[in-house]
Amino acid sequence: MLESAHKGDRFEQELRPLMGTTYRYALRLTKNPDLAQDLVQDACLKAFQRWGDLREKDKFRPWFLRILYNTFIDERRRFSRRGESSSLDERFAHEDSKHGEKLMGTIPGPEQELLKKELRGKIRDALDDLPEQYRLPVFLAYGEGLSYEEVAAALDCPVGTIMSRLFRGRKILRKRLAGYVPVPAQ
Amino acid sequence: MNCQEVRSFIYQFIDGITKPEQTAVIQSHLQACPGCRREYRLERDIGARLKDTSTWEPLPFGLETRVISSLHSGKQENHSLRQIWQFFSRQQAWVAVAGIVLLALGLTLNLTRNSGQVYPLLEHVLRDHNVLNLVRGSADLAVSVAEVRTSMESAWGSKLILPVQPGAGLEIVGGRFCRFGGKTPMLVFKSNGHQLSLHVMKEIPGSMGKFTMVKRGTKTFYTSSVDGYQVLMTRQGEALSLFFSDMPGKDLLKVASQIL
Repeated sequence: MLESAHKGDRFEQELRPLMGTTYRYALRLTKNPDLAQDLVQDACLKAFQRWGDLREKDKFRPWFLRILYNTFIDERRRFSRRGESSSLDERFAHEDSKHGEKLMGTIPGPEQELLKKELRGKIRDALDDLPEQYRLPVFLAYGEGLSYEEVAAALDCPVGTIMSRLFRGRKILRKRLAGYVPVPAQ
Repeated sequence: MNCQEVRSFIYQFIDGITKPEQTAVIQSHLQACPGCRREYRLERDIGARLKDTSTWEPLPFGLETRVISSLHSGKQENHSLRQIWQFFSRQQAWVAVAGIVLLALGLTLNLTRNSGQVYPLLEHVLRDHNVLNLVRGSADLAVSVAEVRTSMESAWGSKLILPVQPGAGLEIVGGRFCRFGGKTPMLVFKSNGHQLSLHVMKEIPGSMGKFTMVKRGTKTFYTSSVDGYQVLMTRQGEALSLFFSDMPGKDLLKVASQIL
């Protein structure tokens, strides 16, 4: 029993810093906040049960994200059963607008606020509208800062495949965001 | 390298994984070529904004606690619930659903009838957290309302505002130190035929389910419902304050925002 408790503590230590990434990854997969939470709970439970199988504990992050992805794939119908866009809109409607301040600099005023919200919405939509094969690596690598190797392990793909998907995904994003992202000064 | 070659390496360059000799060539090309420099900066900005997604989508309140507590205590229970859900999904057993609704109705009526001196809401809350027997029988948990209130106000660092307004009909009917979430203060109120309990604790209990965020003035509340009872949660100072009530959610929000 004591050993089991220690196992739980160690797992918890690894899991806690990953919870934000886990939830956002689940959102990218389900596109629904409620389903994302269900997916996170299921994946955490599965990972906890398989924790003993992980030999290299320093590879917890890609290992765990792979379990989450496989959980989604195994029960894709269940995790895709509800409408998508309205829930996402609600999620963003509830968020604190101060998070958007980093996007467009610090110029105050209502117009700037509107622009920030619009740009934030466009980037989120562009990311979520990417085909899954591009959306997941782009999110993991650029949104969450995983290395190419970690993304490859999380998605069970060769690193070369991930690199080409990242390239292609970013190209699509670039095209879709043209006209919304301010062009930098020379 | 010409422009096309440089642009084919642009993401790797931004990610810092180009080889040193490639990095040097790309850097010198970018210095000399305004078009590629503009592309590079644009791509770099888009990358930076993608990174910001983590600040737009914070972890839902309570999710981490629910997950952790399910790992420690509710593994088997969760699994069983999941199996029940899958059974209903597969079989569409509406007859079984109807049976469960009837059973729940029967339990609710029974709970109300047998409540005696214990308010149904209080009993419901305590039963859910396995402390009913402790509260009923244990003298060390029966303390004065004043003591509970003082403890609560100390946890908040502010006063409980009572009475709210003339005619509001809100009155304290009892106080306890409750054992869920440690030894936490709990007050029970009556208000216009409804009951309300207020708990102060350090973190959200794992069984509470999902919450929706609601702003009221300068305060942020998180609302949910458990078996037909309204649950409302807010931060007050360093403490987490949690209301349970059988009153409608709108009324509970009004009362909560007045007394905290």
